[in-house]
Amino acid sequence: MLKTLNKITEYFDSKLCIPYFFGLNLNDLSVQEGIKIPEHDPEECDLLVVVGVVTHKKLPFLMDIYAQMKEPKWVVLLGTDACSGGIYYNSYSIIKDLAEYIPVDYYIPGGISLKKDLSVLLENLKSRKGILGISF
Amino acid sequence: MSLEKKLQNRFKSNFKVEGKMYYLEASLHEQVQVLVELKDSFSFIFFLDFFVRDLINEKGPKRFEVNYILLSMGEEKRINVAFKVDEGEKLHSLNFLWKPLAWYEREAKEMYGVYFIYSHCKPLLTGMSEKKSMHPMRKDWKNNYEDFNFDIQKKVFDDLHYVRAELSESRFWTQLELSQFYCDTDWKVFVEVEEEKIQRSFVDVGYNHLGIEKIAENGDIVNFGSYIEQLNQNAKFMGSFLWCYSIEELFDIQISDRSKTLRMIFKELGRIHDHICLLRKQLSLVKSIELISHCNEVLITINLIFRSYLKNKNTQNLFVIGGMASDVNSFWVIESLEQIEKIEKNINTITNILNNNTLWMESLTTGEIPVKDAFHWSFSGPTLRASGVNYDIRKSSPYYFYSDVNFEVPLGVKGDNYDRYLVRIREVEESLKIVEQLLDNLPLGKVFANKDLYGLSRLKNKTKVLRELSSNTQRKRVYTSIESSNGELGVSIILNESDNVERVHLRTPSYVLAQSFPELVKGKYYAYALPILMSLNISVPEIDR
Repeated sequence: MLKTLNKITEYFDSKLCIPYFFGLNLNDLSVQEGIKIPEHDPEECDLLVVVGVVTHKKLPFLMDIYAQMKEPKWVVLLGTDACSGGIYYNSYSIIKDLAEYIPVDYYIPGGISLKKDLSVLLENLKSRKGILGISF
Repeated sequence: MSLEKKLQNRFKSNFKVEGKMYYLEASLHEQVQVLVELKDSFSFIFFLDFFVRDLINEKGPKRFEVNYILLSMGEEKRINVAFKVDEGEKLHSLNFLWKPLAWYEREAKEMYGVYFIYSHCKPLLTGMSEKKSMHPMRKDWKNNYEDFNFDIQKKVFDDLHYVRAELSESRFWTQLELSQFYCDTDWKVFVEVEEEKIQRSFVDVGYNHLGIEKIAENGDIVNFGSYIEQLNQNAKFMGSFLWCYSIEELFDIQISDRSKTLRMIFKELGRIHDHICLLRKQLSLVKSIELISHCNEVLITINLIFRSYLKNKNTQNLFVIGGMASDVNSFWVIESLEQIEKIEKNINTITNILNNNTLWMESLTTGEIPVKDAFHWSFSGPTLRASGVNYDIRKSSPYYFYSDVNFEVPLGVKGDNYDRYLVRIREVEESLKIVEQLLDNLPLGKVFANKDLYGLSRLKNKTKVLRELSSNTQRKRVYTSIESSNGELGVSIILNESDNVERVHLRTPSYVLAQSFPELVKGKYYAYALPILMSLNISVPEIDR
């Protein structure tokens, strides 16, 4: 899991800008886990990171955010839940393959632990400050 | 005459007793009459649960069965009243008897196509359109993604903006900002404001609807506890506790004393965890950083106890059917007693500062719930106790060793936000007492009483093994409930002839709390809406399921 994360950040080396996390409450995350992620409007962002299961009722919001993001844009599905439904794969109300609705660039399967994997992703983003132009 | 004899005289052979539960069947044309009679003359005042079942595999004359579960607090008895309905027949809406039925009836229409007269039947959980007849919980339903409706967002706004022309200038709609506490896409609460007072409000849920109950029908009887536990992540261990407890009740399996006490310890720790998580949210509204750090310390120490129990194991589930995941040694007991002293110190500092603190009281004065309303909405747990009703399942029908442990049930007077805070913080102190008593008197013996049940999750025919062990009973249905941190958390399980799961329905406390919000807030200042919503302690996945 960590290896694939590193590979992705290498791929986006020159282009990657600002991530938007769909399905994560960033305020609550900073209180509970101690990870501080700055919030951005979807219009500023380039990279869409989807965490957790996406249901049919949630989908319009995801599509809205994707439409608002600036070009060129990438989509990463983080965790098994986002990729294929995880333990809810049997359910009628979830979307098993998001690629039917949105072009997906990367699938990262596996159980995510927010503390480890998100912080690795963020550190990798941090290391390219000059290009990113964000102050974490 | 006892209640059981009275009911037998009245309903004759339609009335049955199975274990702790009463079961009653009645015909459809008596629906209103029977339920009103039960409420007025048989003291079943309190409404607990409602669910529909599809009978297509039983090949009876009628297609569906509608179940009401009621509670009589004085006698401490629960009754399941069932009516059979055919497709096309209409039931009476009983919204006037018990208010929470409004959402239950909407869900029944959406999931099964069971219609009610005079009821507002907009789809609640799934994003399906109203006109198409799609009922995903029916047994013969197949996945058909194209029929889902994707334009919900616009639709909601269209309905909301309808206000009379005279009022449209002075009133305006806004969405409550919940981004501090919930994810953007968890749920939405819209509020209509006139001169800073709330006139109408609207709760939109179902964004995380996962269809757990349908998954249970197709799947595994052993591992379903972990699905329930996902519903409320702050109240740890409650879901899997409930599932293991109810499966053991259903198949009449005895577990050892040691695992009973261990389960109780972790459940009480879970209660503390949830209450402190809520307190941290409420404190972040006031922005007192010192006290938040005290809360964080409590949560960290609880997690330490949990991690030191599961040292080298990769499992998330502590509770396994028939016992516990692993045994403990005396070092663990001493260690965790030390940790609990730490928790007590932290909570003492919190209560010394907050109790009778005028600033803190001022921020929590609103949100009064009179006893009458609390009954009418069928609240349970701390919310009911804060309005002065002395009802706790741990006291009234004690399971495991709750009858042997010394603890008190704290009560409020007015039922406002401050009362709810006091009840919760007193409950934390009481459950710390319980944990200390249990750790001091941890019984000796093995965790697993039955060797056959060890490694049950790896076997293929699990229900066969369970049924062989329970030679005494041939029970096929059960309703069990526990005192969760939020209220009464219950589950009704129904098995078919070959012992597979026919229907599972969860009674979650948040479902009722969320739909009462518009009425609690009506006529109050806009600034009070968020503190009231916080103090109800709603976890959104419990509503969506």
